[in-house]
Amino acid sequence: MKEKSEMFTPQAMAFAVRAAIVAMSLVPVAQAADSEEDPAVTAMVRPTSTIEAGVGYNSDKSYKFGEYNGLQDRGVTGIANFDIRGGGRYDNGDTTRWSVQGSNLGLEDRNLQAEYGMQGLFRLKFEYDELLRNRSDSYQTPYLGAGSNNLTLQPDWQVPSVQTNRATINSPNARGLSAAVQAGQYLPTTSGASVTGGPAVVAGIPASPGPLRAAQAALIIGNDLPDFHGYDLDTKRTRYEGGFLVNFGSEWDFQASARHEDKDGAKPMGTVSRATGGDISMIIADPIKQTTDQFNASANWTGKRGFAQAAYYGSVFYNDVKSLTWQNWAMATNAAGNTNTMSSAPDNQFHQINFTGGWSFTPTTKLVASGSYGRGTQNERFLQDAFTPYVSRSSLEGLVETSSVNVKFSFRPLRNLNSNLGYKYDNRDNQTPVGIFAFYDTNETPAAAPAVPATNNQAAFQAFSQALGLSKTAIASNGTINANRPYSRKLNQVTFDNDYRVWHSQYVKLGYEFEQIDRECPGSWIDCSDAKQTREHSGMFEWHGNLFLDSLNGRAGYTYASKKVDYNENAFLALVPMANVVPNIAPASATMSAYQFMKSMGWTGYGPVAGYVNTATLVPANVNYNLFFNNNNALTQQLYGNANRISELVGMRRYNLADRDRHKVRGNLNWQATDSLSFQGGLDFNKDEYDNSVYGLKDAEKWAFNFDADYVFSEKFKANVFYTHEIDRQNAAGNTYTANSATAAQNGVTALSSTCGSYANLLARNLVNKIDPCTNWGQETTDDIDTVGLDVNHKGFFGGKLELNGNFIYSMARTNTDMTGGNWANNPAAGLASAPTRTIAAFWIPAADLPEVKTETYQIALTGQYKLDVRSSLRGMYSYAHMSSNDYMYDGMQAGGLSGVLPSFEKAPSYSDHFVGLSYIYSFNL
Amino acid sequence: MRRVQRVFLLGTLLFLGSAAWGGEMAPGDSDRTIEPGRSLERDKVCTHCHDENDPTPMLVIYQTKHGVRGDPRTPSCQSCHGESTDHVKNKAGTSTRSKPDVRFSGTNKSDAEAQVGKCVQCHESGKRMNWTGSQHQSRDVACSSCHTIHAPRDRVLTKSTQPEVCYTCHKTQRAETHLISTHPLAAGKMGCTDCHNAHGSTGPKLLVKNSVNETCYTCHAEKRGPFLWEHAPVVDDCSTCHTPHGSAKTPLLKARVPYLCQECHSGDHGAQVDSAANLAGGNVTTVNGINPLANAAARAQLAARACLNCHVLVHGSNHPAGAKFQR
Repeated sequence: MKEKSEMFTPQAMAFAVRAAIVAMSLVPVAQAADSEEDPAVTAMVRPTSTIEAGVGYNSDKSYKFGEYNGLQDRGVTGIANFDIRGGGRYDNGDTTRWSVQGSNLGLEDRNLQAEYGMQGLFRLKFEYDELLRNRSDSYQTPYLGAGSNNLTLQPDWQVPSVQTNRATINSPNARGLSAAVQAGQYLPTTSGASVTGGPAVVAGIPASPGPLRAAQAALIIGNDLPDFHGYDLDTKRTRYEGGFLVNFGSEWDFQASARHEDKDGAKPMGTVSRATGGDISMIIADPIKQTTDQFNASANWTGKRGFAQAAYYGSVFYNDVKSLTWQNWAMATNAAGNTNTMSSAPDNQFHQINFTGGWSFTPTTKLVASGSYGRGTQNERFLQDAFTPYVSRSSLEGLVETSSVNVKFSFRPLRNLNSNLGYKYDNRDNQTPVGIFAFYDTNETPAAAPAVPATNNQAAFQAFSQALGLSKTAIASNGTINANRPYSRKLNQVTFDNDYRVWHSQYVKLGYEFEQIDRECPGSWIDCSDAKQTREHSGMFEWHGNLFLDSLNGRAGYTYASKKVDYNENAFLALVPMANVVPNIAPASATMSAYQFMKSMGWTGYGPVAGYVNTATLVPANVNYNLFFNNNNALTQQLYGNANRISELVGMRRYNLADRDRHKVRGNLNWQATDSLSFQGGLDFNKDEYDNSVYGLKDAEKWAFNFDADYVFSEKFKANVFYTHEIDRQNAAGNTYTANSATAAQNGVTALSSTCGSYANLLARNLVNKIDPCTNWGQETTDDIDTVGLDVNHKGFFGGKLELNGNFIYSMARTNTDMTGGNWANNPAAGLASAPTRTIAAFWIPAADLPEVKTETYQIALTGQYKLDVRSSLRGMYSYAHMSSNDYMYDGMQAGGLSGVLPSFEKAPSYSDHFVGLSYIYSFNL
Repeated sequence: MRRVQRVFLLGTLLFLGSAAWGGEMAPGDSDRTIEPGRSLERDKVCTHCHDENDPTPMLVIYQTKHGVRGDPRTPSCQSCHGESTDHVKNKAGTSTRSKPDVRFSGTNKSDAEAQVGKCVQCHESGKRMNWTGSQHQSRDVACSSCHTIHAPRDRVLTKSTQPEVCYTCHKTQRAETHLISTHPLAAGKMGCTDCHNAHGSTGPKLLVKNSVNETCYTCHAEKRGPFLWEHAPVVDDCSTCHTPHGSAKTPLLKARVPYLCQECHSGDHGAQVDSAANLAGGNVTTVNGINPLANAAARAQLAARACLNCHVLVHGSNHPAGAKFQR
């Protein structure tokens, strides 16, 4: 502002503008003749529009660089943006306003928006938007039909294999697709002439494959590798959105909008199949063809002392891909059962009504309350085949009801004290029925079901089948019988915050929060949640205000929260209903169910934390003990209807439901050093301690330090520089335990390597396999991230005609994973004649730190805009972006990487990309 | 019963105390007594000095929604800045005038409560319903901390420029958007307000919906279910495993797999240690470095998608054989 009497210097344009302003106040409809209007005045009284058109050139092809910006291809691209605005002049009473905007029209992330309205009466909006998400352009697959939901192999596909010993070459092994691996050594287990055509081998001495094997390897590689072909993995969201607002007087309005979004493309996804020796996997191009429709409507009332809103939200998801089918690469293409099928995300709907109201009793006393009720449904028909022998119903009949209540009461009990009292209730009530489903993992061939069971497992499954009302051989002994767990969650939360002004510019804040969350699965035979209830108390103290100077202010706060949990280590049993059925096993039948026996002994599914006991000879005889926890091992897997051991270690706590102490420290300082120079610094610290977790996440901490400096060199020249340093550390523990046993030797060898423990021999270790301290391990992962930025803007070149922007961003993220502990590895050469290590049964292998994962990114962007005249300007832009990343996880995706996962040849993202563009911008007034 | 009585008594005292202090109107307290329709006559008091030559482009207000003459709700300068009689009349005749009653910028700007009080005279409903007691309100964030009123384009209302406004305070999030795994914030295809309502909400972290999951499902409805086989932490809170603004671990993970999974799963093959000894050529695959065999591979949990090579549908499966999220 200036002082009128001293500073005002009349100018021609100023008079014109002033005339326009005066016209606004005096003339109801002031329509100046366009031809006579000064452009500066026009710009003041009529909407300004711009159109931009030009060309750009992108130097390289990179999916990652173009992940979201559409610049994934090398070559020329168009630059097209516009922003056209019209409607009534600003100097008359016409409230009509409209606009049409388009951005990035030459790229696959284009956006179009249109709006038309008469302010105070109504407004219409429309938007079209594309969002490309590039995922990988290095992905390869041997499958025909990539991108569809039916993947098949070439009929002459050779199952990859690697020679593993003198005679065995037929085990599927994806490493067989690498010539280097095929030329590698194998371990003969017996001596003599090689059956694969090579020279005579000596047991225990690694040998190279013979010519017959080499020929077979060449056949695999020569046949299969050419089948691999690239398939770009990307998804694209195309969104259409429209809405309107209608005002009914000054107090009421009604708004509604609808949004339709298509998501198409493919993304990488693992798939698992069964092969000889275990599960195998591959990364496929998962076809995406989905639609989501969302609707919003609300009626709003705003009065002098209050407001209210009634609203509806609906979301309907539809998936055009109902299932996905593929052939197992580890089986001959014409073998029975090599076709696998999995489900896709099911269609679902969610509808919600919301009510909110607020009332100001006094200017400082206010109550705001809201409530909502929603229904989520899903009833997709289940996919069934020979590997799902028992399905209790044909579709989910899924229903989740959500309800929430929020109440907030704000008041001022003392002159300088502002208080807020809040209550929140949020309930996810999953009313999906519980049912029982039997299946064979990953298309595993059902085991033969003899009429007279030869094993406890066979007998147990016959009993389980009969318990389900089936014939006793309906579910084979390698099956799994599980019940679904519809999780429900109910949150109650109370908050009380107080902000007190101690004196001028000095404030303190005290806060308290209590949160209780109850979890359950309605219909489950036993508590399904690891924590039926969690209770957390939080206390917060904060100061904020000036520090010594008006130009220096800051904030510092500390929050402590303590969460207590009644942890339930038996929650997994809700998945396995047969744990509550007595397996009728002749002649020494159990007398109770697995659960009843566990409960009677005070154990979890992990059983006693103890070493070997020959439970078959317990005196007095305890049939249940021997059946369910033989040799003190964990609950015998198939005797509770599950093909895998799913109980956790005693002392394992899932971290989101574990006892936790949380410390948070927040602080920042802002210093306006001079009129043109300012500094900001901040520190965030979070630490979570899980002191009662023996295994799982033990503690986690995160530091973030921020520094910013802003300098205004002049009215036209300013700069900002910032630096952020983050440390994110997590510390977890586990145990590679195995089953107790009385095995004394491997291939006749009894000695152990002596790098851990003081076991006399293999037997001594095997007797305590379940509680062996040598199998404890720890993992500490630390992310260390530095980010530096510089932003410079100058508007003053060539008499203000040229504006330059410069921007630089550098980011370096390093992840280090440090390991402690180790595990035992059996020696494959144990007992083999001539093997140099034939006297060692097993080695203890210390865990080793993983290689550092490093991702470096930097980008320089320069933009200049030169004003040619009042209406037009030229914009030039240049950017250079670079990313380099290493990650050992990608090693397994190459040929010769993993034995059980087919290579996909994906690479860690890296790019060096130049982009240059030139465009012409024209502005005008409609 | 005595407990209920005590609560009632406490509530009554709080209310009465609040009402007592509420009688004293603070500068920002809502009175909703703006004049019907913006009066240019009233504006002239200000535009007489604050014209097109003013260093701050005051007159630009007429190009914005706050300057639409035909809308009876349009405010005058005084609606927001107060009558500012001393500033206008300068009775003291000093060369430097006293400041307007309510100031939204500069070193002498009014406190946040006074600033916000002016805005909520008109803007209390809609997205601002939960402003009172919200994180921003309680940390003295004023409307003008984010919004630029005297500008034809308010940067915070445009998706591509909005994050820069938020990063003024949320600097850690600014850094995280430059990591290898992010939402498309830096690309300008997503704004902070796609997930957050800066004016207050019923959800945590100012999220636009009642919960983290409800917010995520607005874009990721395929993960909403309900599914036959639910993964407990997924239905509980997406942020159990994911961090939204950026991560060095794709896709937006809080920890690297397999360790993220092993923080909760210690049974069966989840018990295994995954260290450099298990990488190709590591001491385990070569059996203590002695037998470098062709068939020995790295552990699948240390390559490709780790646990998700097989347990793919961790957000939920609807296949009868999908209890382990493999189908």
